[in-house]
Amino acid sequence: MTGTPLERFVALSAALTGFRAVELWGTGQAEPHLRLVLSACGEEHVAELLAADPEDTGAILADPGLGPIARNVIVLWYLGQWDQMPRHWRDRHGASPADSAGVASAAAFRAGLVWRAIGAHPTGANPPGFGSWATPPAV
Amino acid sequence: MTVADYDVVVMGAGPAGALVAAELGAAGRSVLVLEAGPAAGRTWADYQANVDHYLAAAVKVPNSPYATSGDAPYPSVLDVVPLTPGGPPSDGGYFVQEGPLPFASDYLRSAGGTTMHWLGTCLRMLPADFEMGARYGVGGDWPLGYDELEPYYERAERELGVAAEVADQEYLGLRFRDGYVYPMHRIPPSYGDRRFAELLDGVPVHLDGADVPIVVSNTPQARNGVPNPAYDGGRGFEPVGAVGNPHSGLRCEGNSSCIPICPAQAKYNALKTLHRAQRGPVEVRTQAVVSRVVLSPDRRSVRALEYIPYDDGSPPGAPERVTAELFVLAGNAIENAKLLLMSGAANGSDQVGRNLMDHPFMMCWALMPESIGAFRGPSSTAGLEMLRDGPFRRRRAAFRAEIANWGWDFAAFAPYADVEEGVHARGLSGEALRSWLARRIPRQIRLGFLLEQLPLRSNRVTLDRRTDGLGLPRPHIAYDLDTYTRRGMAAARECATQVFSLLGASDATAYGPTDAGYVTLDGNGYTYHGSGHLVGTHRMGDDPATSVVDDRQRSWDHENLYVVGAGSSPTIATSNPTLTLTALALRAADGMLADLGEERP
Amino acid sequence: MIDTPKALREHLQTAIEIEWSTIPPYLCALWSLGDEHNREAAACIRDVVMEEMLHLTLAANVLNALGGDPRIDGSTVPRYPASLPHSDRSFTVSLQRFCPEALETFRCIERPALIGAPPQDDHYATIAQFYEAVMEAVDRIGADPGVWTGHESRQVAPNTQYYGGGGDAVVVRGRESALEALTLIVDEGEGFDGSVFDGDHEILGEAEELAHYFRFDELARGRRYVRGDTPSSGPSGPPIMVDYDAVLPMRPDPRVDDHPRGSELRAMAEECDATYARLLAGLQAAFTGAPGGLEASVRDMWALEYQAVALMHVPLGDDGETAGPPFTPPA
Repeated sequence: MTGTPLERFVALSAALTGFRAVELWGTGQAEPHLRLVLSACGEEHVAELLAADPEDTGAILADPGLGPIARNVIVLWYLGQWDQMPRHWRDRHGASPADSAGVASAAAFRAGLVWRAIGAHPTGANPPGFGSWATPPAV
Repeated sequence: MTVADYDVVVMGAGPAGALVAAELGAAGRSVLVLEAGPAAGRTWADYQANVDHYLAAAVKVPNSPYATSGDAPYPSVLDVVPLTPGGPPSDGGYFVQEGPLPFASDYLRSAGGTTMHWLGTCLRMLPADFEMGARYGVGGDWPLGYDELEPYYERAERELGVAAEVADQEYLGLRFRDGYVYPMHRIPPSYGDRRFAELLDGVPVHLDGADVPIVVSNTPQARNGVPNPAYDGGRGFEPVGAVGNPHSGLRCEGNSSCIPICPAQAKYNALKTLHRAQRGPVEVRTQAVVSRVVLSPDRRSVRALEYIPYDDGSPPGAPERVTAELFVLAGNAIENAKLLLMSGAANGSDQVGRNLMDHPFMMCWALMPESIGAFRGPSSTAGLEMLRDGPFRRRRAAFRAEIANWGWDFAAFAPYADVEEGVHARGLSGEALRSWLARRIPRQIRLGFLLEQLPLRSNRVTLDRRTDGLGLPRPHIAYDLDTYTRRGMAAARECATQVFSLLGASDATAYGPTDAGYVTLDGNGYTYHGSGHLVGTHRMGDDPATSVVDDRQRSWDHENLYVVGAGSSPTIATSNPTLTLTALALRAADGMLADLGEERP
Repeated sequence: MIDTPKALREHLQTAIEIEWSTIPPYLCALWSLGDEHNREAAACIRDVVMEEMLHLTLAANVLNALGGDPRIDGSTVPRYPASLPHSDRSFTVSLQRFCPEALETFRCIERPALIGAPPQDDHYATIAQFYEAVMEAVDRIGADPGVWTGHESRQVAPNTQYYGGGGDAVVVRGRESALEALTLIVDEGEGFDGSVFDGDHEILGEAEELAHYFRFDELARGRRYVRGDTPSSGPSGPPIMVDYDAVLPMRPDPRVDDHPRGSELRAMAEECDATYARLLAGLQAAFTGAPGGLEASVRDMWALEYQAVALMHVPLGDDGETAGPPFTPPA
């Protein structure tokens, strides 16, 4: 286990999302995303998540405590939105007031990975230019 | 005789109101525009704040970028809920809806009106659309025909800045002046449009016992593109950029968010016309809700408009009165009707509020065998227009279909629902998730059918006893879809089935009884949404007994009152209404100038 | 003295190189401003960049009209830091984030000629003096219709492309249209035509738009010019709020070699350079026979922005600075 918590968060996020770590840094959202996860899920659980082996996402996702956080991290990166943690997780691990559903921020929405995954751009931002829609799709 | 405050007072700073103000102001007439909503968006910083608001909105519905106020409330599509037959009306939103079906459209009360979130589609009405009664025995006729409106269509296309080629639009009897070209060349068809055209053009769909060859038509749209140098006899056309940042929006950048907001303002919105209006002696007062049309004692004319100024957070001001030679109501079909009913004005025909129409919007969606690059470009750049008219209109609604560029967006909450499905339902992560999304979403296609509705007396707006923040009655709406429209939905569904089959696409359309707009016909179910097309509550006609305004949209009852907008349209036909209401507003403005006489020295 | 058609063509090629050399530095400052803050400053720089693109196009049109072959490729674009091509090398242009030093450089680039400053066809002090020499030569050498041998199909025509509020392309067919094109460049840029830098000239005058120098001056001083202001009075209009804390902290003059071989960051910088190369290739094609191709170059410019901004978010080490677009001249 090496690096700062932020670096470990990005390494784990890369494995969970299928994007390169440098691309995640490039969104400018690594730090705010980690902050959001910490406030919604609590430092203890996030520390446990970041201590897990990012090479073994299968184990993380299968873990009843860490899996729901990891899935929410994926959605956060892909859509810029936070889904409220599942009921069973909140019942067991405690519910934070920060664990409420919504778009994290305009910047988080713009950085959503889903748009890159499909060869598009976030709606309302990063326009590709006049006539771009007429070209054959890259994805 | 006392001197009036203004030559003209206009209620509403949407496309019709702003345009009337601009035309009258350009002729030297003093105009006051009273807008119920806020000025938001009239500076570049405000406008960009709306863009940020949209980006951060959890549910990106058409009104999501814009401020709300309890003092000038407006409907949201999020208010639309299923109604129980015989049950209590739904009153969770601005409208109080008694049904039996929900009126599913929204609008915006704001400077710029609902053009802030419109798509920009600028189809002309077909010549046949003006003569539905004479040709098909349904719906009734307009007091004017296509040829009378044609010159105003040209002026409207200039005002809105329409991009299209005449050659693409000459179908079903649509005719253009010799040598006419649109201000700008057509917006490039999307890659998906081109694939549709390759696979579908000329291949027939079989409907109503007839074969109709498919034509994938580029859609005329109020969106800045490449100016046509041949426009205006070779003088060309200069696109109008953003209000407050005229270098922005001179060409569409492909932000793919026309609805609900174009970040560049390459899409027309009525703030542009309002901005132009203020070159003349035109004053705009926002957050000023008109609450009463004050009639003269003999009721033959309007003496004043009364309005309530408000400032969110503080108690509203006392009503103020403003007088003028002429009064123009340009709210929209709902707000115009509401005000007339509140004032007991212009309703000698008992038609005010009746014949409320929308284009029930029925979506059908499917997955193409190949990527067509969904989620790129304006929401729609092409449509199927060949079924907008035909002998079938005697028995069922005509329709057009927009070909969507944004996958299953509104139909299935793409791409959000896809991500949730991939992560939560399918347990995908990492490269597997990424490639699953990449294989699926770019193949999503959707057709959006806009169905014609006939004017029905029983589809109507009245006043509810429930009130808004200013104590004004909220609109009470009774609404239904008749068999004529439902038959059209069945034909549209059949059309989609055949089109998807021709494309080799797998149909994913799903309607269910829990959908707010679920209707049935012959045992089959269909779901409609609203199109945001508010039409018909103050219909124009040539008989004061059966219509509210004449063919220039002047009230039959009050000689100095005009009621403008799509509410004047006697039938809704199958074109999106803004271009037509703009043309009609220009025609009305000519009438107003004639009424006012020579310009004062 | 530019005394042959060949020399004139060489100078117009230099004009192309000068115009292009300003664009990457302006873009770095613009893109570092971020998405949500500093929109006013961003709009100012974006306008200037659009006009530089127009100037590039106009210079290419003049060169094409003279039968020349515009070249915009790895051999003619700068590797930063660099002096302006063929200038007196009195200052160096770096790729920098939006900062006072960058604005100072921009003001040096766009500095108006001093009153009575002579035309300078080489080792020029100001771009305005360089263009004065070029225009003098166009006027003299271009008087011979025989020098305008270029084919009109190579011209970027008005209405086909857009340059924000910068005006439109001019089809160059001969001396008059060439002078019109060059005058537009100088008026919008450094502004010598009547707007001499004599200390008490009213800056806005009849013109609606500020010359580039004064737009950068506004940003440096954090205040707008209004009617009646002069260079000695400085701007007296409303303040321009600049939030320097929101600026992406790009390390100056980024290089691919800043990043270890095989690293993700190096790959990302190389992808950015690949887009830059495609953009230049598109411009090259557009200026040598396929003017319609400019539309694709505009799209590449957008794509380059997103890649550059991503780099500007990637931290380089503990000092808080970030990577940036290298703008490496393509091999």
